[in-house]
Amino acid sequence: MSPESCPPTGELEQLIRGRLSDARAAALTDHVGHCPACQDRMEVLAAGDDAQLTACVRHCDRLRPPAESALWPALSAAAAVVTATAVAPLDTDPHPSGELDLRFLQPADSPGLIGRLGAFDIIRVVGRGGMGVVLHGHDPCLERDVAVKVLDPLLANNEIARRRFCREARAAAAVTHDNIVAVHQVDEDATSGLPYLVMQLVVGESLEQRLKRVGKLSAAEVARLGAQAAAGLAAAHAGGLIHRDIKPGNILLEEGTDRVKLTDFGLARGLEDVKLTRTGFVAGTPLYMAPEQAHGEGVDHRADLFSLGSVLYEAATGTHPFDGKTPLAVLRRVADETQRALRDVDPTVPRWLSDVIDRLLAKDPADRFQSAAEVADIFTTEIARAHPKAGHDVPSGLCGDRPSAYALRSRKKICWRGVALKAVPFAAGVVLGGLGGLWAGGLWSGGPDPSGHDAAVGPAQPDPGPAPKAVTPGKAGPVWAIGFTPDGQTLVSGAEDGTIRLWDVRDLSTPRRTLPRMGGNVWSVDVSGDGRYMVATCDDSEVKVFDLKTFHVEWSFPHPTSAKTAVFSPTERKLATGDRDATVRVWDLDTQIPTELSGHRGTVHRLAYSPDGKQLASAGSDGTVKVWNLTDPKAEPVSLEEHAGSVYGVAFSPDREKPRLASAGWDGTVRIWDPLNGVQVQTLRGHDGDVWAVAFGHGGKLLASAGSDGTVRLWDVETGKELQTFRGTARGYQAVRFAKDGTTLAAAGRDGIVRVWDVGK
Amino acid sequence: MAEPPLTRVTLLTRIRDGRDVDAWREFVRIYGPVVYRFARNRGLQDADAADLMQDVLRSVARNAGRMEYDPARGTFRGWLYTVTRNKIYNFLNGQRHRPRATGDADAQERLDATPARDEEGPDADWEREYQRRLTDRAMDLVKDEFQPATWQAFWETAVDGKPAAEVGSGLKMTAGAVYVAKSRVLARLRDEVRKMMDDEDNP
Repeated sequence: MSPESCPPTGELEQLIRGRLSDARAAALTDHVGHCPACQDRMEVLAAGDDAQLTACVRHCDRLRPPAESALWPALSAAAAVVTATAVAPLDTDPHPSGELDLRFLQPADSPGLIGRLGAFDIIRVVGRGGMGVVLHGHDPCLERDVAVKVLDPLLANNEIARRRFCREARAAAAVTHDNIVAVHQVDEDATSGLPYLVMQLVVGESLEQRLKRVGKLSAAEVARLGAQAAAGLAAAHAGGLIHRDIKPGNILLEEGTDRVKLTDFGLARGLEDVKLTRTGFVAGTPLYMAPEQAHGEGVDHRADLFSLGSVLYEAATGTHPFDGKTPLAVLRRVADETQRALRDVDPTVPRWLSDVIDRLLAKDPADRFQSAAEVADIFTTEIARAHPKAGHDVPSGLCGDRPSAYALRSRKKICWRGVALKAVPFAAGVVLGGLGGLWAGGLWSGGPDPSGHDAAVGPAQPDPGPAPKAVTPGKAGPVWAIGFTPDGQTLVSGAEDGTIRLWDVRDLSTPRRTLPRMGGNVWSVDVSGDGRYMVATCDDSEVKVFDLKTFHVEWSFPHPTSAKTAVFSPTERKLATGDRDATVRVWDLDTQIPTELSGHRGTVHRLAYSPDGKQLASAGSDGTVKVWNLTDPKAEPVSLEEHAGSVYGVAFSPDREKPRLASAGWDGTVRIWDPLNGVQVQTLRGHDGDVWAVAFGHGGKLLASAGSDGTVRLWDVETGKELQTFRGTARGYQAVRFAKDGTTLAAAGRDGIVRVWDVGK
Repeated sequence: MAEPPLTRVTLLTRIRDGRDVDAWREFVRIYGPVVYRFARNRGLQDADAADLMQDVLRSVARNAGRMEYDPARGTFRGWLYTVTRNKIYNFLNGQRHRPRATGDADAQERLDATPARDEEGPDADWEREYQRRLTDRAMDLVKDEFQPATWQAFWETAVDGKPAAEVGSGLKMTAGAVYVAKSRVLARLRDEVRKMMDDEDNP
């Protein structure tokens, strides 16, 4: 090579990195030796174009302090001091050491007690861990036993411990849910100055103790555990709280019922304070920590879902997915390693369960389920499906080893759909479900389309259908519940963040009123026939009836588990509710005494009254629709059993002359029945995915159905013909309603926007 | 070409773990000399600068639990700079000069725990010392990856500033080979320094 022909930059770069053949490298090296320009080029390539690195290198020798400098012994001393200061006492939990000193208790009044704290008689010490001492106490005023958790006296002067303790108290007191240990009171003992919280006393054991005792749980037990823990988390998340330390020791199992109770919100922080989680030390137990926590990154509620996945994995297999010898080794495994597939560890675990757990354990929060409510629902549904009526069992050969609905990349329910495919061809390549944004690119890029169409809808998307005449903003998260006042002028919507909003149908741009947050996702709303009351169900266990004039809670109906649906009787002062525990209740508003209707298994998703108020239809995750004769409480319900899988939606036609009942569900079908004899008269196919809700319009001539495929379809009830398809969001519709006029149609779904169409001819 | 998506457990993450002795040692190794050199530049004598360095690092360790460190408001390095600057200020104003209203050492610790909010961030001198320290540390770390002759060629040209031809004749290498050796080490150092800075900036 002649000195004139300088090599291209790419080749010089390869020379530096040692990636050239020996012959070529020798030639270039030779060239560089004679070419000052290439010498400069190469140095810039190596060191970067600012002179910082070369300058630092050039000075490194001179700037290094001499061997006799005081720096060197000081560095050794600093290393010793720093490790002693920072590493030992500032452990994740400032575990106190030393004898438990009970002198902070006041002397007992009567024998059998060990002392008094505030107004509480203290019976015994239950345990001591983390930062607190847990005492079994008795509240003499309310005549009930309580758990009193008091800051360990040895930590009374430890600012970090004190702060963390108070944080737990505040956090836990803010949330009430069946699956969260209730905090009754937070106080500071006047005599000792120690903060304490008074909690519900849970008699039972922790999951940690249970697993130590029995090794692992059965798949059914794991599903139950998952359902309840997720329900508790959903309530906490709805209250703006992240637990951040979900682990077996913080999951209590009530004696007798085995009800799951989450406790120890010591590390929980308000969602608004997430940036504070970046301060200080990695908090939490590394074994159950989410990867983003292990990285010290900001976390959101999905970190709890990962931790729940770790707990369930351990419960199902008896082994931990990320065990390691040291906390750091665990952290690294959590951060970098994919756990051994659950079915490799234990092939007897059902496919769906291992898929759900694997998906909870996705490294990227965006790949996990996106809400605890969703997880709770899946578990509840699957529990119900595990005990279906005969005929609904999936032939085992079909389900075998196919991925289930919850596998990471497939939200399709392959197992069932494998059969359905023969009958209903699918649009190829279209991915549905809550993952969002799957249609890349788009016609409407550059922000949400004012007509309410998703910006992410791509050019391959079919005709969006008629544009809505009005849309609400969608800020409050997925909407499951919508309703109309009887005059058709007010639209009510309930969102996943627990808010209920009232909108003027003529102007949906801003809500006319926003009610105080409910305890979690609002599952249903219904307005009474006289327009005076609205009933709402949410993730906590109270069904609330609001007075629509004052917006006060007029009645609240306690449920053993959270209710998913509640509807007013069209003819009487009554209300029907359906909960996650298979029970339908008809409440008398005046006496507030329920009549219980049992027959379902699993969640009751939706209820509907017949126009004469004499029949009540219930849609269950057991795959049946039951029609109850309310005039004869002893009569067995008519059970409609054609759906495969959960039934999510049910509605009665307003037409009294020609009684019709519609139902829809997980199998993607909409079915129309004669409610008097239980005969199915139509099967409407067209939805590509779950159908969540149905509503009759036009005096019963039209039926609207809302599907997770992002369509609302309008059907002719008589002929079963599909008349129109409304789109607008790829993320799926979950709720649909007609106003009483039968022409104003509203639908809402995962994008949180309520769209209103006019379907008058 | 895209690097494989390795996830690093960075030094600062490890420090926050609170149990990682090695992480704290590495922390002292990197930042101790930065604090020391910075103090020397501000006029402190060798022994005083060494004492101050110990004082600063001890303060960091003690405050780590309540370290209200928020990357959005400034880097960890910026925070350390504030602590160092305050200590030097106090030193230069007399060792016993403490905020009058509080007077207790704890109050001072809390003051120290406040991150740098100076608009301009750490001054240029601090940044320079930090760069130098990282380069120094990188040289320790990568030296063993090279043949002794390669390292020697790099050292004599880049540090000692000798001409390549002279270095080559001593090492029985052509001038071209000396340039290549120097560039190879420099490129490796640059990668290593960048990695350490990434660790720091994205803890």
